[in-house]
Amino acid sequence: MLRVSSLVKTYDGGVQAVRGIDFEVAEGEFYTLLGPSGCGKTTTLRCVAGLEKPDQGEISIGNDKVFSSEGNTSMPSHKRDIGMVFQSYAIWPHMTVFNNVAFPLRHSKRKVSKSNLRDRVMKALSLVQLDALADRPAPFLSGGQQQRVALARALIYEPRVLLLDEPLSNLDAKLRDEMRVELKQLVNRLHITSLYVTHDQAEALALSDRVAVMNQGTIIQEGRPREIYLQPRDTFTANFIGKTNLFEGKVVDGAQAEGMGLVETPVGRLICRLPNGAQKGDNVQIVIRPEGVDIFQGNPDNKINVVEGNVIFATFQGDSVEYQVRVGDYLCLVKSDSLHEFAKERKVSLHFTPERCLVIPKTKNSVIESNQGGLL
Amino acid sequence: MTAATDVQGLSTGNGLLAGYLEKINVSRVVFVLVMAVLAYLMLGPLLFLLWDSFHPGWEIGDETAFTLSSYIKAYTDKRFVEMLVNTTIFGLGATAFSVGMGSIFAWLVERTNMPFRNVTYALLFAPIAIPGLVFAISYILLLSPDIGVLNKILMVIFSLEEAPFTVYSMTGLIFVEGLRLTPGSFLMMAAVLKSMDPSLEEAGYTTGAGILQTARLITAPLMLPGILAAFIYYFITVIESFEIPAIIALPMGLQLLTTKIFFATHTTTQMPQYSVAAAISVVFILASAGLVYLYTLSTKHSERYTTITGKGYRPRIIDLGKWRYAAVGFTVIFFSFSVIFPLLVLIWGSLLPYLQPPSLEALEFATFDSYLKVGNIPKFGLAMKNTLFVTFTVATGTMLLSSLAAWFVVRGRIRGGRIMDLLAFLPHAIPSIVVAIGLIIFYVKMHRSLPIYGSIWIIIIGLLTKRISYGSRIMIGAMFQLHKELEEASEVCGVGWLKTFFLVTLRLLIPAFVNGWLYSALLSIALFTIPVMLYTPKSIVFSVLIWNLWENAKVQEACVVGVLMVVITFTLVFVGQYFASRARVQQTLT
Repeated sequence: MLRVSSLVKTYDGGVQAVRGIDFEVAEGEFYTLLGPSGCGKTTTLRCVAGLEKPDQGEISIGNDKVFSSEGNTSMPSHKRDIGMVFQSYAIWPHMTVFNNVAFPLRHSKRKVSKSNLRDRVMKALSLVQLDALADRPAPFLSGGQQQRVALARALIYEPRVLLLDEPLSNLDAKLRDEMRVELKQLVNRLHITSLYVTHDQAEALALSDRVAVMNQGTIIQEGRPREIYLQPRDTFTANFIGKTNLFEGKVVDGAQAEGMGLVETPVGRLICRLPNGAQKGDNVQIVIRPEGVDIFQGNPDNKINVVEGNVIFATFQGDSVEYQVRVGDYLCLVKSDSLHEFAKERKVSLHFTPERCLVIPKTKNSVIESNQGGLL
Repeated sequence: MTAATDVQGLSTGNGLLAGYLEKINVSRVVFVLVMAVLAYLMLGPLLFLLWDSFHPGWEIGDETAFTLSSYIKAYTDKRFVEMLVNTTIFGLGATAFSVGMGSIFAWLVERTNMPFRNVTYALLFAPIAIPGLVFAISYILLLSPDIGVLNKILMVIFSLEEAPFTVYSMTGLIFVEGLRLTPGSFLMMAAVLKSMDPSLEEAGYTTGAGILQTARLITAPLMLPGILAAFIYYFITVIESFEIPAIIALPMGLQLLTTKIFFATHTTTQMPQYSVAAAISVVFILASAGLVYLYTLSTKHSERYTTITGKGYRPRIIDLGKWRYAAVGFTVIFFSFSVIFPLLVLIWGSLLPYLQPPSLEALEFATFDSYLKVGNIPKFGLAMKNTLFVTFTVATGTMLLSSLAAWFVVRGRIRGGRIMDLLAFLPHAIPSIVVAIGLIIFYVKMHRSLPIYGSIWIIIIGLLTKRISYGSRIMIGAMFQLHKELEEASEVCGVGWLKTFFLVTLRLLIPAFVNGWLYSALLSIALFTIPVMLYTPKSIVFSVLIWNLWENAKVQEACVVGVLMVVITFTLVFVGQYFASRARVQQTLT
């Protein structure tokens, strides 16, 4: 339904916001661009909307080539037949809720009869449970209500593609969680092709059919939420999506049964999941999520992938406890059930579940970021 | 233009013309139109002025070869130095008076416990609504040595032989001009004071410095850039103003830059010397452009000094003690001179067949007949019709053009937006009288192809040219406040650029638009310089009518029309205040 290829956008002043990205969104699919601020995700979305003009590349919606640097085509926004929900909601303050939602039908080329208009607006409003507030002036709405009006306004004319620019980021935490569920149900029900932009990984994982992780103007990895979380292909993705333990290592023994192999790490030799083609002697990095590490006391029956350490810090989080455990010179993040808590300075054993020890090839600029375990 | 445009053509399917229209980028077309109009308005007169100063001549084709004769004639005039000195004294004097007064009132209203501060604030707006021409006339009626009512009263009270004051002097000129500009400089200084973080002053008090010491060592240096900016701004305003000099300086033969240009084009003994006026104008423009540049520098600088804090603070209010009453007294005296006396004498003058000091005997002569017979004043009806037409056209044209230009400057991201910004601001640096000279030269030369010289349209064009710098500033400021996603939301859901501009952008900017419209309307009525230079008998407007009546010693009629003009301008100001306060209420709701 939506195809973006070799998209490049440089702003005046030479900032390269988007450096040649490609992706395709199938009909009815919910596709998310996820990345830190300044990664080019919003610029990409605005290029699709026609609000920014790319320097190079091609964008197609359905069978229309809405932008092509080669064909010198650039269809203006109002002809692209898209819907968009803005970060600021952009609800027009001089109109009522009804008039906001009716605006696209009244003033664009897709005019409808008066009675039909009323039906369609009320239907769109009931979709977002705002039919009771139709005559309320827009300034008298709460943030969550404005959000719904914006959604109704974007959906009323059944656009080919729905674009959402961090629509939940201006809501407070509780409302955000509610709206997330509601949005997911709505989009599933309407089966509408959606392109979603966010910096919030939880949002992206919960809502999307597929996620593209972006950094510095390029797509680093694309896949289903499960893949992105469980099989990050590089350290940026691993770090950006959730907390991570990251070790440097060297393959000691190549692939054994079912793609497993032995890797020498600063915390000891670990059996890990090896990528295809990993050779003995390769320098690699090992990614282990905190919840992939078991913490316990005493001697285990099985000594494989078990190391000893000291609890440095424990944070009770309600549904879990998060530990920082010192193993040699390294600090490991461990997340475990909150029923039991190990006190500070306690000597504990850690078990790195082999299936969750993921080996990724070492990249040149793997940045060590703050939300990970690492050197003391 | 392949697949995509084909698809569009099919989807609308309205034949060739529609398909062609589809391909036009509306915003580009409007951009080019606005740019062309602005360039025509701003650059046309300016370039012709410059050309004519070196190549004197009436029409295209009969100009002389390059010559400096106009410059030599203008600058070797034996009274040239005298004129420069007079202009400088007038400029400095009136500026010092108005900025000084403005600062005192700003301090009293913003920082002290003087009683009736809110009333003072509201009343300080009032003189803005009195047109300069009317104000000057009222001061002749008050302080002329021969007929001045105030002089006569003082002579009776103190049994004086001679009139104690005369308005026909440099001091009188400075006093009247300074008085008229005080409201504006008050607003400017109040803004400077408001934007200053009072904790800086409080820090001064806590270290043990007294009120005066703090004012001298902390408040004054911090306000210096703001004061400097106000000073430069009002110096430009004073030296280019012609309303007060036309009434007071012309009869006494005092030479100023503006009166000199006026004389060069309005002599009874010889042909108007437009190229000489142009030669003076060129230097006038350079000087005033230099000052405008200094002004922008000083305002840029002031942002670094001042801390703009939100509403979360209350300045420390200084207790004036018993001096509070002195402050009120001072304020009352000021209002008497800036509003009450001028309006009273104007009304008094309009009721009497000939001017005399107020007394019971004089009251017997007073009638409202003059108002009933206002239609008998020659050309009154025509002037009324023209004034309304000019006011409406100029205000509407200015604000529409300003709004469009502001959109391209703020949102356009089109190459040339910066040039448009400069073009719109340019007239700020060109004195009204110079704009008028430029227009005369331009349209006299062009009269065969564009016969608007002598019609009302040349006055409209002149006022429009001069007003755009203000209108565009207001709309640019407002446009920056408007979140661009509000417009993008409209375009994304299928509404084209032009419709979006009117349905969303302009609709949301209505408060700023109305404000700018009313102010432009007010000035179109009040400003006198451009109409008096460009009018012909059939394009006469109120301000010129008053001038003609006054010149022909028809004092009563001049007063009648003056009072009517003040009624109109006051109405505009009140409507403006009403809209402004309503917009504030709306803003607090959203």
